[in-house]
Amino acid sequence: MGLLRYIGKIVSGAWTIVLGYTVTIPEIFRPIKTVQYPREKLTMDPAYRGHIELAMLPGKDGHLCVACGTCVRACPSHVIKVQGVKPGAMGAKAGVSFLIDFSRCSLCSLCVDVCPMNALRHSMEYDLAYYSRWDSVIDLIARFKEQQERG
Amino acid sequence: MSANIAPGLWNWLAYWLSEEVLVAVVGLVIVIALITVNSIGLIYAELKVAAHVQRRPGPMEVGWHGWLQPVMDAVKLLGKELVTASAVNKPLFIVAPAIVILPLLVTFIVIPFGKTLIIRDLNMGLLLIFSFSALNVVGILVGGWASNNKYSLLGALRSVSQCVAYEIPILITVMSVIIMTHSLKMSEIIAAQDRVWFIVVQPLAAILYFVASTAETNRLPFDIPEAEGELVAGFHSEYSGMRFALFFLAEYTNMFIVAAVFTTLFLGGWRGPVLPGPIWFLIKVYALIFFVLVARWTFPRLRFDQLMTLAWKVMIPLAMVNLIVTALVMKLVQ
Repeated sequence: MGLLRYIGKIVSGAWTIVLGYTVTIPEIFRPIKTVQYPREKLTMDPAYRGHIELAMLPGKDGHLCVACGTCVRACPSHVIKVQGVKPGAMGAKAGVSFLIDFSRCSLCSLCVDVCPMNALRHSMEYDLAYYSRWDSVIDLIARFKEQQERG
Repeated sequence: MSANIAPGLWNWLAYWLSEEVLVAVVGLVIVIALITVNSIGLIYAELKVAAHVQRRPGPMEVGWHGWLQPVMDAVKLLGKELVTASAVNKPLFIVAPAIVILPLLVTFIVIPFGKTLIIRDLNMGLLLIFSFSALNVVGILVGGWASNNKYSLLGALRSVSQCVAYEIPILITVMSVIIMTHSLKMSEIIAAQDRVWFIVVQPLAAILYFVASTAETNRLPFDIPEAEGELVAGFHSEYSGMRFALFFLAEYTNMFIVAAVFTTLFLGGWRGPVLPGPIWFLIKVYALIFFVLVARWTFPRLRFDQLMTLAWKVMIPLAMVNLIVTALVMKLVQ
């Protein structure tokens, strides 16, 4: 009985050698899954959360920000700084300066949730590494204008 | 005067230009070139196989598909400082890499690359290979001991116990082949496989030899002496630069020798249709090495007691049974 179990163990052990190779060897000939980063880049999923940006809407010229400051108050890490200008007595206030310091952002998305005008959204940027911490300060108005020019 | 010297000089020249010396010198040059090229090629193959098993492209930057990567690594190692820690046993520390690599050079004397492409077809060819490749472990022990570092010493001790344990099943399985060929001469072993390769006649011996020789070369899943999760890098933790490269060179050369012996014993050596002998030999050797490389990504590392159990409780009894059955069958056939 003991001898039979011993032989059975050896046979099943030897069989796992074959099984192991049938798993790994076909894997060698399958196509490569990874992307050579600086040469090729992935397109991000629409649900991806990069840093925030001002939303662009079809049929609308400018952004929707009215500089109400709700996002500034909602932000737990004081990332956002907004300044607005009221053009005339009757006109609505509009944001003219919208700066974020991404180095402090934790991508919690509270600002996007809280915005009464739905002016904010997450961008698709993902290579968010900088040489200096001042590089992490992003001017969203300038970014918005640049995006508008590119179309 | 000159008439008296001339015959002596002539004899002296004739000796040094005789066929045997020429074969030895040319053979040595070819072997050293082969060891280097083989190691560089195997490092590249190792990187690429590792990458493709994990579905990565592997090295892609230096040269076409990164084929110069191992050459660049070798250049980097050549340029590195040879660090000698203050507490090491200096003479042993320096001599250890040489002890590891030199016996492996000797074994190339009897490896039959082709029908005539063999440096010296010694009567004791197989014995020479096993006795000299067993010296490899002395170098590892010396290196680990001289490093004066607990990780190195543990790695060296493990290496010794592993190599001693796996030397036995290797020799017993090889004995069962020798019983069939009645010879230790490499060319006669190949000649005996005229009609059928020994892997068909002796499948158990072939599998046992393959597994035991993987253990002998300290390859995964038997890389206990250099298990990086437990022992940093094992016996070569303290080595840097070209000394470290020599250990590396020895590992890949050992793989080549082990595969070459397997090819000679079980796969008919240089025999094969159409293509010339040496090419068949290299094809068989590198096909075997491919399996060793893939094994690294297939099987998890054995624990030390499992390693010993496998050697003493499984492989040695099986090899003994195989030897006895072979002897009986040979006696009955006679």
